[in-house]
Formats: sequence, structure tokens, C-alpha cells
Amino acid sequence: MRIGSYAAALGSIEQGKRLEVISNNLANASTPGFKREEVRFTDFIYEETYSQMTQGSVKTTSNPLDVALVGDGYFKVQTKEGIFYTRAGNFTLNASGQLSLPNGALVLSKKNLPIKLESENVTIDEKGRIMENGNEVDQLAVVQFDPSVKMEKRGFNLFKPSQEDAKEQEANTTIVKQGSLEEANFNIVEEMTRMIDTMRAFEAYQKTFQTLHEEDRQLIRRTVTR
Amino acid sequence: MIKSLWTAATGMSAQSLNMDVIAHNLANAQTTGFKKSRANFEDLIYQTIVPPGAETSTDTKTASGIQVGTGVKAVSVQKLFSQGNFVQTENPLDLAIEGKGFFKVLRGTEEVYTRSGSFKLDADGYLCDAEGNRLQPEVSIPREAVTITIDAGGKLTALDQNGTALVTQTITIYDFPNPGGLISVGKNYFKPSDASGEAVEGTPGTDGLGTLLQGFLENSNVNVVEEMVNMIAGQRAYEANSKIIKTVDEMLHIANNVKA
Repeated sequence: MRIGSYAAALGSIEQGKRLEVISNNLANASTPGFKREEVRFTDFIYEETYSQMTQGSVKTTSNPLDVALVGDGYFKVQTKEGIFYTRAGNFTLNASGQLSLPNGALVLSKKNLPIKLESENVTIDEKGRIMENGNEVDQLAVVQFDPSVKMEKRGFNLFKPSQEDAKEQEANTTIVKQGSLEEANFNIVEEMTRMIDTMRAFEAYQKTFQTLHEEDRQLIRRTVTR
Repeated sequence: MIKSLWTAATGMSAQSLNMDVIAHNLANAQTTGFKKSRANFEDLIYQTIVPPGAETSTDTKTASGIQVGTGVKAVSVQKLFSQGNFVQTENPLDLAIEGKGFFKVLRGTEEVYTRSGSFKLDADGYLCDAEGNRLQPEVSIPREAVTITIDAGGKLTALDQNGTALVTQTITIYDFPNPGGLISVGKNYFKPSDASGEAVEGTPGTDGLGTLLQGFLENSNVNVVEEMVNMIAGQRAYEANSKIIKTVDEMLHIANNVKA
């Protein structure tokens, strides 16, 4: 077999992987704060995935504990496995009145402590300051990383910087919007287009493979009959 | 590629749950004291095939590696306790809570909580809800009572025809640290759970509790238009996930036909 056959096989494997990434994006069409994954082919045999961190559209829910981030940055949460970062602002209160994600991760304040609230009826301003009956009780931690820091997905709507020593800093320009949720940052139609593109590319590689195979066959046939 | 099939399946089952929740909300668009729910989703664990920062050759490192996600899961169906609209009924025993709080009623031997305040009197003169379960703590109205007034602070006064007070009693309401964690048991009732925390008793209008409104009922907090929009979005996402399955099927078909 010629090298072309292997190249075509590799090409189809890569397109298969790309489809896996697209299907994960589409499966998360209703996941708040979800960031779409993209596959990048740097050269023929080398590929990598990355999360596209663009802003998702902000949907109004009128629920006081739903908060969306407009701009760069993350909320900081504490889980049993340590501190993680998230863009999903569908917060709720746990049985002890602490602000948490639906999966139980505790939302941290600027002082790196869990936030305890009396009730859901709070006002959260653009800086993430939480007001109960007009008194400021706490402030949400909203942090960002240097653009060079790559964020790794951990599932459960959580992110973690891939470098251990990455330094977080306050996201001063980011706006916290109460009563809203950030939706997944892709539109279904675009993702479907990528899916069709993937399938056609896959088909093309298979056709290349078939053509090479056919050429070989004819070559063998002619050599034998001569 | 086969993984995509399962990933798309998680997407379809998530959207199907989403649709179930929306359907239940819409079905209860006119139920007194009903609180809408919302399905919360999160992405599943990622398979790291090449970790970010792995060495690709002696002097280059990957900038982001290869992470492939495995789909989505529903993490919770959260009840949203926003205020419903008030409907005036002019029935003196109809009560609406303006703000936080629940009425407690005794169902059999079990204490359950509700926002639905359409009370009436049972055969023995006790305040009970539409199901005939008595409001807790029990309130008894004597037969001679002609007018019953309940003020914002929950103070109930029953007067006879001469205007003399026969009974004065305070209706207390209850609140939870996390109402979103309550368990719905149907018939507008909620039960506390480990996630909701213990019920805290209080007088209406104190400690952040809501006030009572006599002659009104609280309508469902479902916004029909909002649910319709969510339904359309959910249907499209479901469709997109089903297309992934179809695409994988076609690709596998192509692969199987390479050898003609």
C-alpha cells in the first residue's frame, strides 16, 4: 500500500474525533455557561482541542440567584477536590443557607469563603456585591486569568487552569448580571453545519482511499496481463 | 466516532427531561400556589487524550492538548419560588402569602407545606385546605361567627353579629433555608428534605417572612410565553442531537463500504 492510503485513513480518524467534539457541544446545548470545544489541526498528523471562551448569550430568568457574567472571568467554587472556576451562575442555596451550584459546589466570596445568605431575596449588583435588605453582606469572587493561561475542562461545568502556578486576578471590568443566565456559546445551526462538513470530509477521505485502491488494482491487472 | 453516538444519546435524554419539566409547568399554568421547575444541566467528565502542555517533540509543547467530552447530564430539577400573580376572590378564607413562607397542613399524620391558601371550614369548624387537611396549628371558628378578618400579620379575628370577638388567633407560616430543595409530593404539597433544611416557624411579616393577603389567591408562577420559548429551544436541541446519531450512522456506512 502506498502512503496515500495511510494518510486517508488518518484523515478519517481525525474527522471521527472532530464529530465526537461536535456531538459533545450539541449535547450541552442547554448547559449554562458551557463553552464550545473546537478541534484545531495544526498540521496533518497533529490535532488539538480547545475551549472557545467567547461570551454566550445572556437569557433573562428573573430568578434572584441566577447570575450571568458579561465579559471575561469566572466565579470561584469550592468542591471536595479543591477550588474550581465556572461560568455557570445557576446558583441555589443549600440546606445550611450557603450559596452553591446545583451539584453542591460552594460559591466563594472575595475573601475565599463560602457565602451564607438568609434567603433568596437578595440583590446582586454589577460588581457582584450581595445586598440583603439594603445591607451589603458579601461579594462574589469574580476572577480572570492571563489570556496565555489555558483553561482545562473538568466536567460538571467546572474549569481549572492547566498550569498549576497560574495566578488569578480580579476581573474588574466584568459585569455581574442578576436574574440572568449565560447560555452555551454556540448556535445549533452553526454546529450542525460543522457536523455536515465533518461528514463530507470523512466521505472524501474514504473516496480517496477507494480511488487509491482502485488505481492499485488496475495497475496490478495491467502488469499481469502484459 | 462510536462515542458520538452515546454523547448524542445523553443530549437527547437531557432534552427529553427538559421537555418533561416544561410540560409539567405548562400543565400547571393555572394551579393555585404552583411553583415552576427548571432542569439544570452540566457537562460530563472529559477524556483527556493528550494533556495540555504535553511534549510533542524535544522543544515544543502542546498548547491545549486533546480533551473530548462525553456529553451532558441533568444535575437537578430546581423549583423556582418567584412570586405568582394574585387573583382576587373575595372569599374571606382565601389567603395568599406575599413574600416568603408556606402554610403547614397535617395530611394524615404527616406535616406537609403548601403555598396554596384556598382554605375552608371542615365539619368541626376547623380551617382546612381544599383536600380537607387541617391548617397547623389548628384554627377553630365557632359556629356563631359572622365575619372573619385576617390581617397582614396573620392575626385572625372571628366576630359574632354584635361585633364581639369570639376568637383571636395568629396564623403562623413556615420557611426553609433552601425552598428549592423541597420535595414536591403532588396536590400542591411540599415536604422538607436534607437539601431544604428544617422548617422555621414565624409570624407573617416578621424575620423576612411574607405577609398574608385575605381574599386573594396566589396563582401559578409559570409564564406561558417563557415556557413556550424554552420548549422550542429544547425541541431544536433534541433534533440536533438526533441528527448526530444519523450522521454517525452514515459515516459508519461509508466506512463499511470502502471495500466495494
